[in-house]
Amino acid sequence: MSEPVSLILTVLNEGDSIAPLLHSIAAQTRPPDDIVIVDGGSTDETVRIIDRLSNALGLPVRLFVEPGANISRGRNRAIAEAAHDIIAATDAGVRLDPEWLARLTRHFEPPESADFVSGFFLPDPQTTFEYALAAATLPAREEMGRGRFMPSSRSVAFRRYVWEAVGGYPEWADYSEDVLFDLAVMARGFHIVYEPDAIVWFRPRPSLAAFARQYRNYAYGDGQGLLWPLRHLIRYGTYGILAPLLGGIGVKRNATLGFGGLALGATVMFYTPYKRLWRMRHELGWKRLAAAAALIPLIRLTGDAAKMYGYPIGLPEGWRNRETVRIYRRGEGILPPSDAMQPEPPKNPARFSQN
Amino acid sequence: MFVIADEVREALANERPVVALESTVIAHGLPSPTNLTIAHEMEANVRAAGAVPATIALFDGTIHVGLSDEQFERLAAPGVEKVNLSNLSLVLARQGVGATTVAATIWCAAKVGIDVMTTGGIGGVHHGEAWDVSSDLPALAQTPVAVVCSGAKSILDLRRTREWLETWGIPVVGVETDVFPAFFSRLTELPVDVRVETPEEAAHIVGVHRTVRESGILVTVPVPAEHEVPVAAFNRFLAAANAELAAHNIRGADVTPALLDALARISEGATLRANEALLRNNATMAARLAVALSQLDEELSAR
Repeated sequence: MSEPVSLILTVLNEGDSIAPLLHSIAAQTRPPDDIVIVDGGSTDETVRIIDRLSNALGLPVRLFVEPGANISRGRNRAIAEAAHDIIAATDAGVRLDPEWLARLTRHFEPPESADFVSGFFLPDPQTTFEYALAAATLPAREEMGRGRFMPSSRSVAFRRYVWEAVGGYPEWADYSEDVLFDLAVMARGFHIVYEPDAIVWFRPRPSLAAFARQYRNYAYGDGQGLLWPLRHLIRYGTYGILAPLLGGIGVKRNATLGFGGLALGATVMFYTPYKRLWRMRHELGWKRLAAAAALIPLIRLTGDAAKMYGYPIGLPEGWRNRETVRIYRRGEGILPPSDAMQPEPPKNPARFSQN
Repeated sequence: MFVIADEVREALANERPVVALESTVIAHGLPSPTNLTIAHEMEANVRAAGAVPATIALFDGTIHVGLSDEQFERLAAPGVEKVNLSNLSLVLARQGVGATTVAATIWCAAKVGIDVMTTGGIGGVHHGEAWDVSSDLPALAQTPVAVVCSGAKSILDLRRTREWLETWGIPVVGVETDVFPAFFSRLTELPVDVRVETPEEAAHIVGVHRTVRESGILVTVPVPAEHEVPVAAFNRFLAAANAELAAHNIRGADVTPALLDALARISEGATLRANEALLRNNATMAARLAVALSQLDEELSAR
């Protein structure tokens, strides 16, 4: 057998989604040798389901409950409790491909000897809206490993020393913690391997309102972590200045220039989502494809509005903590002392739900 | 082409319940001498429940339905070919000894008029490439036989297997289960089409299915709880066994017996005990189903 692996995840009120994940963990062709789950204080049936189902499936689960813990704190606690040096991380609300762990962990063996392996995640849409959302927001597999792709902590594995070196997950960040973790890992120059065939499947948010909440939270996390200021600035500039300006020019001065400029902008904005949607045409059929195509602009605009709302809420906090953020992003964070891993009331109750 | 044992011939002629049994379990599925012991116990269980057992195998260019003790011994000897629909005619033409898989067994059973078959688990869709599908599945889609089993083999991609069954219109009945069992394990997240509490209750559904479709139907029975190997535990055993085979560079036809040996050893016999228990139990359930079907037929003909 290869080197043993601990699988970690955090949960909060996942009563509706935890069973498929546990079944998919049980079906791994390379089973985890140790599973640590940290519950952030679920008020639904999550803990009871984990207890009952992990027993029935024969999963070696150890469950810890830390009421009020955010995702970073939950992950840090789980990794601190993990028995082995290779840590695989996933997330509630997903389903693992049976080969997921085998494909992720083989890269730790010589000659590759990776420090950090990023798997991928694919949407598992059921409704037309979920297809449209997947096309509008989720990268395709061929986009992995280049440019802006950031590993997601729903599908990664790393050596424990990587986690220790960067100071664990940033507990001061309520959201975007995995992007911050990625940036810290990259800053330290660890050997990162991309494994596009290590797949987790997840269902996109089921409604526009849930999606808006999710993107608001992401942007809030971006503000807390001082992430992507240029992207956010461009967004404000596009909606606040450029689009009204071009519209005004189109109405009052030069229709070709104004509306042509808007059309060009829309083409740039929607090219990739429509390209992804086109690839889904066989699954959708023409009628649903048309409906999904009609939803994409609405989704894109809603997502941008949610981000423009969430970012300035998190930004002041990020600015106040800028020295902490800067040190962490350089990969020089300090791991919370082990006594900080014990349960305690949250210092900063979550402003938003985990959704 | 067919050589039907007297007991089976008489039962079929008198419309008495008959249960077909596969023979790969003897030749390739279980280690010696457990294979022969279990094969005889399965036949005994079928008889005890009121049906006639008909184990099917190929000998010397003919298909035998109902075997003698000497034929059982020949199946347990080395060199027996595993027969599915793609090589059935080849083994017959070469006059070899062949042990039938589920696909070949139900094809033979349907040809001689047997409605019910028992096995441990069916083949299915393999992990990896979606086209890597056991011939059991297309055979089930085309052959009007009720197959009593404990789901599909644990090493398969059960989700895709379940989807395949649905796509090709093969109903899945669960006896005392809401979910499609995973051979050694009782629990999966994959629902059956309908739950019944007894094989007699399943017989009513099978009876209706026979009148409307020319396809197979699965009657799934979970492994007895006291012998279950939970799915995650089984996958740990399997990963360790596969690693052992890779370390010893075992390939080709040697893989299955070596894997079964390794699994039994690594699990300290748990997988073997589970396999034996479900085979015995399924034989009883299949016989009860066949008896109930036979009674339904009698009632229909009396009207």
